[in-house]
Amino acid sequence: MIAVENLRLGYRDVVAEGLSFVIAPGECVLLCGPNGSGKSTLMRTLAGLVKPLGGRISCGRVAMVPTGIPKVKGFTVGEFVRTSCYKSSNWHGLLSPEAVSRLDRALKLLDLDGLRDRDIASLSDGQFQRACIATALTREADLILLDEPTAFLDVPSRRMVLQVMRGLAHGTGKVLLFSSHDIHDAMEVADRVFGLFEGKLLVSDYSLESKEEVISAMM
Amino acid sequence: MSRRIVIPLLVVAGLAVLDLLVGTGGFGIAPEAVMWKLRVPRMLSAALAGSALALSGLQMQSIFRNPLADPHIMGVSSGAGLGAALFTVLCAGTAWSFAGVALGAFMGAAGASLLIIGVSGKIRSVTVLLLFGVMLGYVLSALSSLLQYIADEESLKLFYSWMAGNFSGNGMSEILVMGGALMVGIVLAMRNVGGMDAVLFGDDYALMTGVRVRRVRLLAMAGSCLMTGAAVAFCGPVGFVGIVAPHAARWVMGSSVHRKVLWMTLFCGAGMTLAADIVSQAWVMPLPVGSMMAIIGIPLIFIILWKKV
Repeated sequence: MIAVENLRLGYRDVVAEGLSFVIAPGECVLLCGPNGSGKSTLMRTLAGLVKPLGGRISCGRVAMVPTGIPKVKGFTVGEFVRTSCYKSSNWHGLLSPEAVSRLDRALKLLDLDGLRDRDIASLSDGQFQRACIATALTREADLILLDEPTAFLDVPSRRMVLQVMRGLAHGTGKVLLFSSHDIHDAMEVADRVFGLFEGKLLVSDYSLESKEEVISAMM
Repeated sequence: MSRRIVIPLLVVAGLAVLDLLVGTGGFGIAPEAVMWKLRVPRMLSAALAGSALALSGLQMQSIFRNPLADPHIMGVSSGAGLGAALFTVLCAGTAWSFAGVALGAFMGAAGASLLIIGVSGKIRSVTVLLLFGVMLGYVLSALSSLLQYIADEESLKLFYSWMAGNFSGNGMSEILVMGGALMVGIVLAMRNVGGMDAVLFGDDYALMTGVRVRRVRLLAMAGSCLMTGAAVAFCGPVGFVGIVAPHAARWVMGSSVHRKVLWMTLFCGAGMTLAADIVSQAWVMPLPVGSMMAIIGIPLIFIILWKKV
């Protein structure tokens, strides 16, 4: 269960305030809003990368996949995903057996087992996005935050990644909060929609009408 | 052991033997005294300086996520240059002259390094930090030019002979200092491999995996500055190894994972400086190693840029 109460966020200036919501385990939630509305700031605050200016966050372990992770040449899929197990490695970078099994599980769950030895620079954008999501899975977080996971993807890759995300939330019971500008595709897989607009958060319920209401309020 | 490792190792070993056989314009086995007093220290100096500069370059390229970052670009060598210039003006004509240049270079490199380390704790943006290093280099170079302007002929001669780069003239004590600095640098780098891997994918990504990014940057800078300071003090500002050797190591290993490329970077760095020393020593009047390195290094940098574009 993720609970946020009266959250105020920003850096020097307040970007948004009075943000309150609860997300149940296994939910896949879309966070949308115009550029500069504070979507990334909200994600970074939930991830603990930015200190909240006020309010309360209760969300257990968090993993975030930031937007625009570069495809660094010279890392296989397996090696890239294992960079996320930094905390479980010894002083020379070797993983504990427990971390190795977490890594294997994440690769299997995202259907990346067959690509384990492929260089990430040679992956399609959709495959690479799955590998990025796998890095979040290895951290065994309760809340997975994905900042624009479908940016720069073509339509088939976008749909595939969105389906993977929905399956992941429903199949593992983790909370998945993702931001996207591809609202219509994203809305199809999201259980609920959160809209950040002019410093306030609009929260839908599970019905299609309510989700559409939040989106049209931001147009 | 795989061919990827054995062949470069054999090449470096071959270059080391060849470097022992070359001296004052020709190849051949020198008398025992010349071998132990001149050629072995020169070969060890070249190998240690090359390894140290290459490992420094690898770490700087990773923490700044810039394929062209190295100790020279970050202003460490310019700091050494200013220190050397200052000491040549102060110590010229005294018994301190050569030791003074080395000491000055080491102190200059250490001063510039401490400044960069201090600033790296305050500046979050890697681009701003890199620009700070470049600007620092320009300022320090300008200050050494001013010193050269007021220096007498003897001081200038001493300074230029250091600037040209040279692996000769070092004794066991200098080699021990360089070896010690390299050892410390390797241990620090080995402790940092996982963090540097994560930092390549961005600061936010690294922070989310539990990496303390500033600590990774600080450790890498501290190790690099120590190794560069020692190498530059005793061998002059030998350029290009720091940029080229890490790329060569990644190419040889077919990987960018630090745990895999760290040792190969050391071998590639040593191989490059040994090759430059062999070419430089093969003439009747030994040519400046810095120039040889530029002639070998610049085409390699163009190839790297060509492949990146």
